[in-house]
Order: sequence, then C-alpha cells, then structure tokens
Amino acid sequence: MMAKISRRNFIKFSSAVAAAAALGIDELDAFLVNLKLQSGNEKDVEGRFPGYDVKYTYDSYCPSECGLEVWTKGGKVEKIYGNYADPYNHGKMCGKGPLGCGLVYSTGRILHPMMRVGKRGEGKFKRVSWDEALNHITKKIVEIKKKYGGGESIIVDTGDMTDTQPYYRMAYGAIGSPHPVEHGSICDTPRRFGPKNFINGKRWEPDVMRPVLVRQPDGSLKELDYDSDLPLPKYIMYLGWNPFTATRIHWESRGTVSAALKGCKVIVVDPGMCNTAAWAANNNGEWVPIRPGTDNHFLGAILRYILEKGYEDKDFIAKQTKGFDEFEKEFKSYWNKTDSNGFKYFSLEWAEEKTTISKDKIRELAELIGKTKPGAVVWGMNGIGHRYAGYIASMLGTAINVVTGNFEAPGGVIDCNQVRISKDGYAGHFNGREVTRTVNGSVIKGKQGDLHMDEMSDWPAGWYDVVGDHPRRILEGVEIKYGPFKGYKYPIKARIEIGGNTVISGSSTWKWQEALTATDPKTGEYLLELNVHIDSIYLENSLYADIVLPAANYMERYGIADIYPSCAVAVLRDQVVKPLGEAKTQVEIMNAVAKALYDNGDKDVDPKDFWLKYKHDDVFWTEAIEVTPGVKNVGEPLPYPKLPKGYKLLGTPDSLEAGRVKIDHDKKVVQGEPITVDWLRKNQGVAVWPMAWRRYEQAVQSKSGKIEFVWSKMEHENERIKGGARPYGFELLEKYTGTKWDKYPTTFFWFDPPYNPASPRYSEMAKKYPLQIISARVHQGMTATYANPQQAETPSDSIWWPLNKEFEAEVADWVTEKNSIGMPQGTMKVAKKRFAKGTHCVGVCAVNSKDAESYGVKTGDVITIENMLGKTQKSVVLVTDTVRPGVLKMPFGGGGRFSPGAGTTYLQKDYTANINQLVDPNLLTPIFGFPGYLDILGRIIAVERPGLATI
Amino acid sequence: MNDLYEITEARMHVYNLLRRIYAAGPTLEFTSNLGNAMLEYLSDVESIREGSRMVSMACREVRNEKDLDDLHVEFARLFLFGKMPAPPYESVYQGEGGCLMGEPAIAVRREYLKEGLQVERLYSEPDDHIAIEFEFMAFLCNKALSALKNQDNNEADKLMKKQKDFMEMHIAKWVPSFCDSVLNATKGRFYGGIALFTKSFVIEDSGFLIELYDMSEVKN
Amino acid sequence: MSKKYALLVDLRKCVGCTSCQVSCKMENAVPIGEFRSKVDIADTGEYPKPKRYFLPKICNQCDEAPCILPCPTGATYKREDGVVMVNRDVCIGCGRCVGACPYGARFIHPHIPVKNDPSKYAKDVPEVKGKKARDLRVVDKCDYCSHRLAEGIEEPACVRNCVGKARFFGDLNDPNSEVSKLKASVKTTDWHPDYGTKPRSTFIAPDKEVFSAADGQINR
Repeated sequence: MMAKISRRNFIKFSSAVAAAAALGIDELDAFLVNLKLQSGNEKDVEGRFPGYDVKYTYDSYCPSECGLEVWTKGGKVEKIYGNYADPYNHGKMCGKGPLGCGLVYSTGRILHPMMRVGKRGEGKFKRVSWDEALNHITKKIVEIKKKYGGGESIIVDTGDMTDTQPYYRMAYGAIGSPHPVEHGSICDTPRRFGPKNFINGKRWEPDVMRPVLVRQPDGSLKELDYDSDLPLPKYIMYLGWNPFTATRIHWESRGTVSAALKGCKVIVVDPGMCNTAAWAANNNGEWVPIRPGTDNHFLGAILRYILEKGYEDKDFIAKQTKGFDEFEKEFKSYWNKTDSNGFKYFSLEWAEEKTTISKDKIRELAELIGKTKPGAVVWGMNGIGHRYAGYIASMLGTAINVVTGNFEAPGGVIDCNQVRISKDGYAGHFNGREVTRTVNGSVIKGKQGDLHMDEMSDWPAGWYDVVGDHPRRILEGVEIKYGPFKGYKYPIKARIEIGGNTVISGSSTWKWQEALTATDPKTGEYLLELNVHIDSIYLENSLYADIVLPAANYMERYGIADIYPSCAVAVLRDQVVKPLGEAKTQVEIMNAVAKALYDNGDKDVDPKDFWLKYKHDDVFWTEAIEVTPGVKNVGEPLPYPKLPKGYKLLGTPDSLEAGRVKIDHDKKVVQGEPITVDWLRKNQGVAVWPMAWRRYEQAVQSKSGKIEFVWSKMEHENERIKGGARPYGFELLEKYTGTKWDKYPTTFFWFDPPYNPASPRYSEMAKKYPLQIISARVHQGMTATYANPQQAETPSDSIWWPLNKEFEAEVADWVTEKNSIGMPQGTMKVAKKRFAKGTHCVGVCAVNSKDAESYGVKTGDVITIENMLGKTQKSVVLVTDTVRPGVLKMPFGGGGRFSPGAGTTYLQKDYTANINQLVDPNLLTPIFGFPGYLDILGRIIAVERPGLATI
Repeated sequence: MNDLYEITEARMHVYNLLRRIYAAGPTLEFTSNLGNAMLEYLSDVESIREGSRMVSMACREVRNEKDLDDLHVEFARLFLFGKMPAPPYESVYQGEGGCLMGEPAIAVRREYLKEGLQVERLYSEPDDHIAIEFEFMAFLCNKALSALKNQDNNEADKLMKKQKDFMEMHIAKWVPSFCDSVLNATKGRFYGGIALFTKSFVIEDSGFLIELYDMSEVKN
Repeated sequence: MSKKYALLVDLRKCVGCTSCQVSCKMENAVPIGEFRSKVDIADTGEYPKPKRYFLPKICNQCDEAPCILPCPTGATYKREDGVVMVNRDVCIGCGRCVGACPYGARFIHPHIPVKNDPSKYAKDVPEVKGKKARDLRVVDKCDYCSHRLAEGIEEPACVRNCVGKARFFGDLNDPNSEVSKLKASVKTTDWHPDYGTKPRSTFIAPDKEVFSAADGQINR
C-alpha cells in the first residue's frame, strides 16, 4: 500500500535526526503528562467547561447539611454534587440535594418585603421597601416593650435552619428577648431524653462513618475507609429510624450497607417497611413490624432479658457508670408486678401481647443484642422522637447500649453530639443582662434569662424550649413561677419566625391558626400584635404574617454546618450565588433590625454589638469558630500524642499537627492557629480532625463525669421546683396516662403511652377508633421542599406516590433550547405544564391490604379519616403490604397544604392530608412539652372513588 | 508494513526535534547535534532541503556561549514576550486574530484528554502552543509504532487517522501562517531555516496523511 | 487500546434513595416527566413478609443495541468505547428507536429541536412527513455523561453522587479499574439477558427476583 503513496520520500529515517531528537527529549521535560483522572476534586472545571465556576458550601435542603460542590455559570446554580473533602457525605448526594435548583429558583420564592393587607390567613399582601418593613416591625417592638414590660413578650423562632446564630444575637441582644427558640423544640426531642440524662448528650448513632483519620503507631495520620480492618458493628437495630430515606445522618446509608457486606445484621423495627427495612429484608437483615408506640415495651423486654441472663458488661458498668444499682432496682421492682394483660412487666409474653411481635422473635433479638459485640441499638426521630412516651424508649435504648458496653467502643455506638466541633455566635451572655420588673407592686431586679416563658414558668425542665405550647401562651399569657420574678405575668405579643413553618409543623394546625388569629374581644385587635415571617419560600406561616421578609436561600448565604459526624469536622457555608431579588443574609437582617430598633429609640441596642462590629458575614462566622474544634485530646488511639492528654484543642488541623501551638496549663487548653472562614475557604470548605474511640472524658459530660443511671440533671430540676408550682406537664401526664408525678423521675420510670391500643386506658376508645395514625418522612420531608416539583418524580416509602388528579401548574423546570453537544445547557425556566393523572407524586395514606379489603378500600380511593377528637382529614389511599394492619401512615407536611408557595403540593390539598390537623394540641410530653405527633387514634368514616388510580 | 513503520518513526523524530526547538532556546550540545541532523537530512522536497541547509549552516556558526546568547535573544524576541512578531499559539492565528487561551486551546485540550493526557501546568500553559501540538503528534506516532510492532494493524490505522484528524483540524490550519510570520520577522538563518523547514514539513506531512487515509482500510 | 466503558450497579448497596435518578436530571437538564435514569420500586410478596426492591434503570449501552438498526438516518451509533450515542445534528426525531429499545431507555426530548432536514427522509419515514425540523424534537438517552467523559472525567453524575457508593464506572480494558476488579471477583447479573442485546451495564444482584419484580411494578 505504501508504494502507492506519492509522498513517501519527503522524509527518510536518519540516525542523526533520531539522536538530536533524543537529546531534545532529554533536555526538556514533556509538556503532556498522563492525566490523573479527577473523580473527586474538580478544581479544573474552568478549563474543562469554560464559563463554569466551582464553589464549596453545604446543603439546607434538609438538616443533614451535606457538603456540596456547586458549579455555577453566569451567576446561576447549574450543577450540584457532593464535596469529597467532607467526610460526612464524602462527595455523595441523596435524592434531594441535586434538585436544589428547583428550590433556589422556585416560583414560591419570597423576593421582596411584603406587608399584609386584609386579615391574617387571607394571603393578601402588598410589596414594601426594606426600610418601610423594618420601620413597621421595630416601631411595634419598641411599643410592645414599653407597654408590656420588655423583650420577653417577643418570641424569635429560628426554625429549622441552623445557621441562625445571628438571629439569636438579634433576639438576646437587640430585642432583649430571652426567647430565641429553634426547631429542635418540636422535632425529635423525646429521642434525646436518654442521652441527655445519661451523659448530657443528644444523638446516638452506629460507628459506621468512614473514612476517618486515625493516628498510627508510627505517629502518622492515616485515612481509613470501609476496606480497612477498623471494626464495624456486627448488628444494628434501627427502631423507628429510616436512615436510607430520612438521610438525616448521611453517612449512615453508606455505612450501613458497607457494614452489612462485612457481615453486620441489620434489623429494622418499624410499623412500616421503610426503605431501610426493605433493603434489610433483602440483605440478610430483617423487618420487624412492631405495633406503633410499643418500642418501649419491646426494649424493656430486651433489657430485662439481658439482665436476667447476666449478659451485661459488669466491668464497663463499674468503670464508666454511676448509679446502675439504683436503676436496676427500680426496673426490677416491676418484674413481679402483673399488668392488666395478665403478664409480668417486661417479660417476653408481656411484650408479645403489647407489641404483637412473637416472644420467640423478641428472645432471638435479645440474645443477639446481649451476646454480640460490638453492636448498636439506634432509635429514630419520628418513631420514637415524635411520641409522647418516646422518653422511655430513649432511656431504655441508651441503657442497653451502655450495659452491653458498646458506647464509644470501636464498631459500637457514638454520641455524635459530644464529639463534634464546638461553635458559638449565640450571644447567650446577653441573657445575663440586668432587668427590672414590677411584680405585685414591688420593683424586682433580676436577669433577662429569669423571665423565660418555659424554664421559669410552666416547663421548668423544658430544656429545648416548648414551641409546641406557644399557641396556649399566646392565648393565655405567661406567669413566672420560679426565680426572682416569681408571680410576674406578661403576655406574648410578637412572634418573629425565621425559616420555620409552625402553622403546619408546630403541633395541630388548627390550634396555631386559632392562636395567630385570636382577637382581644374589647379592642378587636389581634392578641399577637406582631407576626413576622422571614423565609426564602412562601409557606403557610407567611399567610398569617403581618410582614414577610425575603431571606437568602442556602446557596446565597453563609454559616457553619451543624452536622453530626463521628469526630470533629468543620464545614463552611459559603455564598455561591448572589441572593435573588431583595433577599438578605442572616447577618444583614440582624444588623438591619438592630439598626432600625436603634433608630426608633430602643436603648437596649448598642451599635458596637451589631453593625459596627459585623461589617460582613465572614466576621461573624469567624468569631463563631474561635472555639473550634473544642474537643479534648482523649481516646484510643490518642489523636495528638505530642500534645498533652486531656487538654482542649483549639485551632486548625495543620497547626495542631505541626505543633504550632500555645499551651495554657492552667486552663488546660492547646491553642493552635485559630481556624477562620478564610482558612476553610482555602481548604475546600472543610477541616477534619482525627477520630478516636473510648473518648469518655470528652463524650460523657454529665455532672459526675460518669454515665449516669441516676440523673443529676433531673435531681437539679427537682431542686428547682421543690416547694414550688407543679409543672404543667405533670398535670397533662396524669390526665392522659393516669400516672402521677410529684417530681421528675431521676432513674428508671414507666408510664403507658396515650392513645394506644396497648394501653388499658384506651381499650374502649380503641374499639371506636381502631386505627393508629402515624407519619413518616419522605425525601421531600421538610415542609418547604414539597414545593419542588422535581421531587414529585421520586415515589417514596409508600406515602409519596404518583396518585395525582390531572392538573396544570406553573413550574420551574430545565429548558434546553439549543441543539448543541457538550455540557447540557438547560436553564431553569418557569412555564405552565400539564400533569397527567398518575404521573406526579402526592402525599398518600398507606393502608395494609387486609385492612383495605375489610374497609372496602382500593388504591386511588379518597378516604375521610376522623381522629379521636372528631377532627377529620381526607387522603388518597395506596393499598400496600409494606405497612402492618391497624395502621394508617401518611407523610408529615406532605398534604393539606394551603399556601400557594407549597408548589404543586398546594394543588392537591383537597385529597391529601395534613396529618398535624389530627394531633391533639394539648398532648404535650411531661418534661419537654413536646407534642404527641404520632399518638393519634382514628377511623375511616367515608370512602370516595374519584378514579385516581392508574392500576 | 515496514515502510509505514519506518516513515512513522522518522516523522516522530522530526516532531520531537521541532518540539525541542520551539519550546526553548538551544544548548551548545543541541546545536551541534542539530547541525549534523540537518546536514544529513534527506528529502525529495526542495524547500525542506533548503530549510535544513540554512539550519545546519547556522548551527556550524555557533561556536561559543556568546553565539548561543544571540540565538536565545532571537528566540525571546520572536516567541516569548513584548510585541511578539510570531506568537506560537494556534488561538492567535484563527480568523481575524484571536487572543491566547481561545477556543483552539480548549479544543486541543479535549483531544489530549481523549488520549489520557493533559498539559502539566494546566491553565498556566496554553494547550495550543506549537511545541505541545508537536509533542502530541510525536506521541501519536509512538503509539502507532507500538501497534505496528504488535501487528495490530487495526489499531495502527486508527492512530494514523487520529494524526490525520489532528493535522487537519489544527496543525495544518495555522502552522504555515505562523512560519510565514517567523520568516517575515527574522533575518537570521537559524530560526528562518527552522521556519522554512517546519512549513514545508507540515504541508508535506498533511498531504501524506490524507493520502494514507484515502487508501486505508479504515475508510472502507 | 481504546476504552471499553461499563457501568456496574451493586444492588447490595443500593439504598433506594433515587440520587442517581435526580443527579442525572440535574446533570443533563432532563425535563419533568422524562428520564434518562430511573429508579423503579417493585413490590412482591405479602404481609408480613413483603419484599420491596429498588432497581436503578438506565440505558444499558448494549453491545448489540437494537435501537441502531431502525434509525433511518444513522444518527444512532455505537462508539468505540461502547457508548450508544445519538448524533443530534442528524437525528430527525422519528422516534423509531424509542420503541425499539426493550428497556425503555429512550425518549423524545420535549425541547431540543431537530437540525437535520426531515424532508430528505419523509418518503421512507412517514412519521416526519410534512413536518419541518423546528417542529420535530431529537431523541435523548443516557450517554454515560459523554460530556464529562470528553473532559476526562470518567464518572457519570449518577456514579458521582450515589449515596450507598453502589455504582461503579470504568474501563473494562483496564484490569485494574474498579469495574474490572469487581466483575472478576463478584458474580454479576444482566437485566433481561434474554432480550439478546448484550447489555454493557450490569448488576450485582444477590436476589434475581428484583428484575422480574421490576417488570410488573407501577412505575413506567
């Protein structure tokens, strides 16, 4: 063939040329090198995809707050991936995060300050300027403070965002209110009871987060992943916890499946077969379909079995705990008592009757838990955390993990609250300000914090504030019952809510509506004189607000992540795109409100505490992490062998590693180079410190320094209330369960769950209302995120399912107008779209197939549910075997939405349920005042057949 | 395919040589080697022979460091800074005249990536520098030689086609103009000769690759 | 040797989070109602022992893709590295390939207009008779994020974000790639091998019932 080519002699081989060429190669390195394929750090995005910028931040689509790598183009968010540098999610994203564009550019975005025209709830607003809005708000606040006493009449609810420290400062320092509160008050609180009392902790999770940095014997730090020989749990029992869907602790997903591949048995105890249970059943694990609200009974039987068999780790108990004997004594005092069902308390038969799980199964699991090490018992947010009697399951779960010696053991259980970074910015010191009030004619001096509406009033042990009981205080006012201001009364006159949506989520919707629209019969004015809502999406709370202010969305503001890794990790929220419209960041709003208060004559405000000091968000957040990481140099292997053991560590990972530190032997502090927002920016937004185990000196923060089976926290509360008013919660406890408390329990205790067929008290009621109504999270599980139509294409857990009626809506969607190759060039645009029947997910009610048969109900039918108080809700039905009989399961926040900001979900309000309408607003837990969200009995009173089903 | 092997090997050496020449000023040793290479250069194309004669003569005149310095100064004047009369980047020669790091730089970057290669000082060094484009051609030639050695004719054909494409889409489009700029800007025989050599070589090689492709099995 | 790309999904680690589905949407700007990648939920069995499976579905980039033959324009073709592509410059949006795929991997894009003149084909393709290019829309499908592959990022978006770290992507011609190593050490199962299309994508599926269950479930 070559012979045919005419041009073949333009070049001939020459050894001299070859030699010269070879020399040339020797003299100069090659320009082109083999590409090390970047499957993680995409810093060279600009070169590959011209016009794109990369920024690192973290998510707020849900409170998991996973690290993000965001690609923007022309100032718009385009691509969202996980940030590989953040071990919390290790570069991964769940089924929500990548759809963040739908939230940023949602049609429900609040872009301008709005002022109400007409009545609260009507949704009629006019646009106003920031100045006008701030003036209105702050004039009113000044007026309220003068008229009613002070800032205590004003509540600042910072909702479910966690980068809200600026609003705390605004509340404490500018408004002079002791009442900044947050979402943790109405979410998950009973779940924390055990950890809180045993170790002053919060969140117990299995030790499955990898990779982690571990100090090696040779002194180096090594990153170890699932393929290393770091122990993993040999069993994990999840009770009412669905980490695969409610990806609240992101790493539990990859951690659980990785542990399973290494032989971990995963047991999911849940009335419904959630994603985690479904996976477990297919992967050598199990779904145990427990009767709702009987986890207490289940865990009680397991603990009894362990102690009867002598499986407890006596050595661990002796070394690390205090008061076990007393706890055990109190627990055992029930063992010989016979319950109304004819069985002895906490026996296997007794638990079988209560839970409907066979006693053989309970015994099998108790054997597994008692004898297998290491392992983890993990209880969840909804199933236990949202129940009236959740305290008890939490207490028992904690006890089981402790007596089996699994707490802080490698491959065991970790309290992720205790070992994570410290951060501040809450400005709590303002609560120590001296204030004066007139109480029954006398002038009394005290501190701002002594006026607290929960701690110093009806809820002395309401450690997380009691937002669920706000409606009652709005209607009735507050009376101080403890401390220097005892006897003092004041009304609640204003509520500023940021990013929360308590009308839907704060207990029963109708109770909140009642409180927010209640009027003074004499004047006709609203009792709550000022209601402000600050948010990025226009939800139900906005409808009842007098002023709505546009807040920057999570891609548009700054913060420090509130994540729960198994060791200290700091993650920066960085502004990725400029706020849309007139939206402002938290620091900007804090400063603006403070300044407007100051301009309107409020003497409480010192400019040096606000806008003169915090000229930019970076200043605020750098100050907030002056206390970071704030963990002690303890554990095995010791994180910093070259630094003093037991000392508190402050500063960047690199300065601590290199020893560029100052050591204060009096305070026992090692101060490295302070970590700053700038440092984080330079390090892909993340700082990671070493992991260790058996960090008892760090993890156990009880008064005695030991894991307490007799709780000094509760002893302290009993001191406080001695001789004083009976806590409101005790009255409710007696009313709902018959149990009488005259003081807080300080060790093992028991009461029956309310509104539960397992409780003898409710056996009559349960005959009329045979169904237990429970809720659960779906991916789209924050009330705001149902607004994203993109989420309606991902069916989830049998409660978010494509059973819609045909409808039309204006939605934001990707539109690609150009036919080009390369990076897909879709931009988010709003357009009208038609959704055919059965193609779009809505909140549905899951009904067991046998129940459906007996009620004559089919998939696609719309049932009317009546609860034990006679309130009703309608919901479309999905008949499924993934839920046990006797249960109706619906998503919370997934239906009955009445704000147009809720997107396509709003259009389905007539056939989807707002489960919170069925909650008893007076059912508040005895210690924390937490609403009994999942304690609902009901029945089906009507069935319609509108032809929604497609199968 | 012995002939193909030989010719590809020869082409590879030339590309490597040119890469060295355009990447930086020469060393004494290099000019000595280069002089010999050009002296012996055998081609049936007159302008290639002319160019190589000029270069070999220029090389014989480089006897010491001072002579070398003059070359370095000329190199810098032509290719490195100030108002470069002959910027050695493809982006500059597209259309009406472009800036650095234009579309051609991105386009060749993609071509390199397809072969698993990337400019080491990515973003600092424009990917469409003539030396890098020549290095890439040498790389493809080398790969084709391996394929031929392994008697993988299919693979060799594909690699020759890749060279043809790269030549057509990039090198042949601008290097001749670039060489003209050099010829217009320099009076010296070293870089003048190199430019003449380069221009002719590229034109010939382009024709060769096209002819080869037209007859190859790949096309069929 | 060229690349031989393949995707492997380890169903032992799939948590049903649908991140693959939504990451693909985000990456490829896939509009509401259409899917390049979809997680199907399949239920079987009865209470108290029901089973629920998650099957992440995409285009299998079949080695004997049945979607290629019906294409009247040659717009659909299989690349050397295995990706079955749609050439948007050539596609006339007749949709015949959509029906030809037994896995339901293709769809007609609601927005992206056709470029090629359909009238050339109207005689044999009555579906496009009388229609203008601007009225027709091209076909879209999973292409293993070829725009990322082109930049050397051998990681489609669905693999990038997978929560359970259940998705693996790489070069089967490289014995050291993760996919090659996994395929060599763990038994894999194809989805509907009886279709005879030789799917390139594969699964690790301890319980094969997932595939038959997914056939009967409600999500199309």
